[in-house]
Amino acid sequence: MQADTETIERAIRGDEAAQRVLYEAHYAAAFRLAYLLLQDTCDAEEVVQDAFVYVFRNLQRYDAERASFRGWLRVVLVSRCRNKRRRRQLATVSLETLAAAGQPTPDSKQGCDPADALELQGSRRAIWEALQKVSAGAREALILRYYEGLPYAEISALLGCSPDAARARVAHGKVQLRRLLIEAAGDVVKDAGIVQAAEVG
Amino acid sequence: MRETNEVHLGEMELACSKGEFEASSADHLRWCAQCRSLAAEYRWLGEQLTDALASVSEVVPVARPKWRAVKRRIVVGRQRRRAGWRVSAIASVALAICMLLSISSVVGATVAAQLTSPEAVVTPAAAVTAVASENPAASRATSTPIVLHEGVETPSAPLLVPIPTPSTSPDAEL
Repeated sequence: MQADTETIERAIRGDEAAQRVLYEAHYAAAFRLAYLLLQDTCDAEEVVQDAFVYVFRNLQRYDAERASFRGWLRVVLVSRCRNKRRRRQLATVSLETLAAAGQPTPDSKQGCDPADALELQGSRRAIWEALQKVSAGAREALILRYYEGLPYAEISALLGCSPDAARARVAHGKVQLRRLLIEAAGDVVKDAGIVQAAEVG
Repeated sequence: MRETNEVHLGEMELACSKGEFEASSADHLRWCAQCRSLAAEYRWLGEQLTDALASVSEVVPVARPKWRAVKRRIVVGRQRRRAGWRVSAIASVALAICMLLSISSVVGATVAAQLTSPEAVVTPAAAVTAVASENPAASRATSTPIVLHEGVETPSAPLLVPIPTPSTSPDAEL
């Protein structure tokens, strides 16, 4: 922490080596959070770079008494991720229109299932897949709560809502997640039943 | 176990983590096995979610940090900001000069107008001769010059202002 403070002070004074140390120390964690929020490595990389550029340009505004460097970076990162998601939603509409017209979309060539790429198994895979279907606001709240382990007050500051609203978003996300898992389990049971019936038949 | 017709807790309430329940909900959970079971399910789901997210973050292929790209963007941004400052400074100075010039010209014109009297054009009352030929009494009237200021229309009012003079007519003495 002390080393971090010294590095930040040096970085504020324009020491490029100190800035690089900060960047490399916080990059991986920032990338992982961005990936969880966006589920796309390219978008995560872009957003993380944007966030770092903003942070280094505005390093003089950083107040160590108000938040840790990681906390400040997280605020910038989550904000950038939300903007990116909104822009992507707009782009998705046009891609859906393209797909409806029978044109191949850029994404259709790639493997669409992140769980395959991530080699997740069992309940973790089911939960990760179900999490993609949870509404965006609730998903962000769930990730900040269960991955970053943030208190509701901090989640509310990041999402621009009241702590009660943040708590409600988390609870709503869990309710959605449970229903989605039950549905998925029902489908698995149904598929198993169909296979069994076919074997018997 | 208490046997009542009390309504069960809502799912949103049960989805809260342990220790976040309100006093009334906590009381309900103490005796309602159904709600307690659902609350435990949500707790388990929370733990599973933490595990799943941690696993994903561990296996996600983290892109290589590109410090050079970040540095380049910072430098370019700084240069752009400096250029922007320069342009805005030049524009501000030019605007200030324009404003000073326009203000000084307006003020100068006003002061000049106050110092010098307006130019006057004196036109003789030409109609006096014509009127005098028709009316002999009018010949005794003194013609009043009409002072026309620039931009002011010639008045259509009478051009003669009769000046009362002592009568010399013998009829008048009678």
